[in-house]
Amino acid sequence: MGDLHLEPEVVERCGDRLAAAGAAVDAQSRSFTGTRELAAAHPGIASALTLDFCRRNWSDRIESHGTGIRLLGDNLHFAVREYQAADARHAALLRGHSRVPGE
Amino acid sequence: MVSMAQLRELDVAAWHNGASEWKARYTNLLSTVHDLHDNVDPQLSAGAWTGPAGEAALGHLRGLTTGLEIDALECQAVSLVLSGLTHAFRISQNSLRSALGAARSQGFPVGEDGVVGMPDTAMARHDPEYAESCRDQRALLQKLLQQAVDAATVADQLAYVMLDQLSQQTFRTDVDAALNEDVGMASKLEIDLIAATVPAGGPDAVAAWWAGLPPEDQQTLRMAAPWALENLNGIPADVRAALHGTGTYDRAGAAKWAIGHWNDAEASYDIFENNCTNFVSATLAEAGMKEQGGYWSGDSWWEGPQTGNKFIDVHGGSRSASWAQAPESYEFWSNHGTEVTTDQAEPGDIIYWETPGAGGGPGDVHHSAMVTAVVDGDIRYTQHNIDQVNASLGARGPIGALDGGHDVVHVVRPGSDG
Repeated sequence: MGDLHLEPEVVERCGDRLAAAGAAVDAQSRSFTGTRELAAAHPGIASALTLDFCRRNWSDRIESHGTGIRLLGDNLHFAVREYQAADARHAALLRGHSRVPGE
Repeated sequence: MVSMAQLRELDVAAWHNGASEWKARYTNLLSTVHDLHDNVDPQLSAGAWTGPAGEAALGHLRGLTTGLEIDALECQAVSLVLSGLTHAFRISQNSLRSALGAARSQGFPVGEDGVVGMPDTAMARHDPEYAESCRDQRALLQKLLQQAVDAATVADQLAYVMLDQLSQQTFRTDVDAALNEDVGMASKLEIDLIAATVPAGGPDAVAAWWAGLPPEDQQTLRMAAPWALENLNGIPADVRAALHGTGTYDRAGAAKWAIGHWNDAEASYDIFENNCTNFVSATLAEAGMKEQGGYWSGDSWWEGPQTGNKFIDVHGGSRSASWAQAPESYEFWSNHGTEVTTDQAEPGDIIYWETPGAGGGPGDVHHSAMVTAVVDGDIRYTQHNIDQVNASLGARGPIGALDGGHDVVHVVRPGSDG
């Protein structure tokens, strides 16, 4: 515990930023309308068919990164809540209470 | 294989939109990478959250940022392939439409299978001489049609192979591999796709093909693949002369030589650890640039025979500093040529990278390469040692900036007489 240090406001802001970034990346993974239309309009063209595979594969990977970034943001928010709760608990203990007031 | 009907009906605008869409994915994802890299990472790494969990969070963030950077680069690679395909399909389609228009105006029927028939006129049936000329013209039209369809088929096949490869790169974990291998090869392919539209037919077919292209297609070809046109019989003499340039220096020939030798193993110009400027000078020399001055001249560009004595050869005894060192090369060619803006760059120019000096002081010109193509305003350069061929300046610049690079680019048009 000696190395543990957390600045709640900064980490909270990082979490917010990660949540927004994750959502932005998710949106990128879904916005391949033109590519879908292109593939649909050129059924006999080999490169159009392969392009559609490209879209599916990369869309999935981009989406997984968006999800990962959003989850990391959630985890940062969670860590801040936990840190604040633990801090309050320790403060209460130090004041002689056996539990955090309100818990 | 692309059929004549498919090429005729192909929606080129849709391919352009597809390329733009993937490019937008690249731009937007890279913007998020910058955000994470510049705004989140520094906060966590500066100690906002220490301890095992904080370190794990930072490690996870960096892994995700790297993954996202690779996503952005792969989207860029796909957009480059689609851009090349768009150009190739548009040029092929315009060639086909030109040939079909000529057939229609001259009374030659063209079947849906792409076969050109003889005009159904009494004169063609009964006048042997006229029928003979019609057969010649029919053969020419058939060749033009086939050239267009073949070009589209080749482009489709080349793009298919590359897109198939890119679709399977989702395991990538190395940014450098994504940039140098996938984006690098896609950038090269974009030029190859455009060059593949240049037919190999006889002079008559080439002349008719060229004349049938809209000016913007001709310009695309001039800038992307001048080496494919310069010595092609049937291309108008004034076009070929412009591609060559004035004087002894053959600008299109320089692009061709650089593209042909970018990754030579144990090349004669591999003298130093880094031979980027040696490669540029070798390219200029191979393309006819005359040497200037000599050992005793302070303003010279020359290379003499290697003595075999490494000390002498490496320390300026066998070539001028301007031959092998980027700062001196930049200085020499700036004085014996013209510095142009990046918008004005053309194949045959030299490109230099300079790290600006602190506080506006003198910068450090540390790298050079040959401009070998320009596509949609994007410079493509070819270099040796850190081997790249037709690498996209537009694709690589933003990635360099992510690593803290802020180089200034100079483009110099070497004077033909040194």
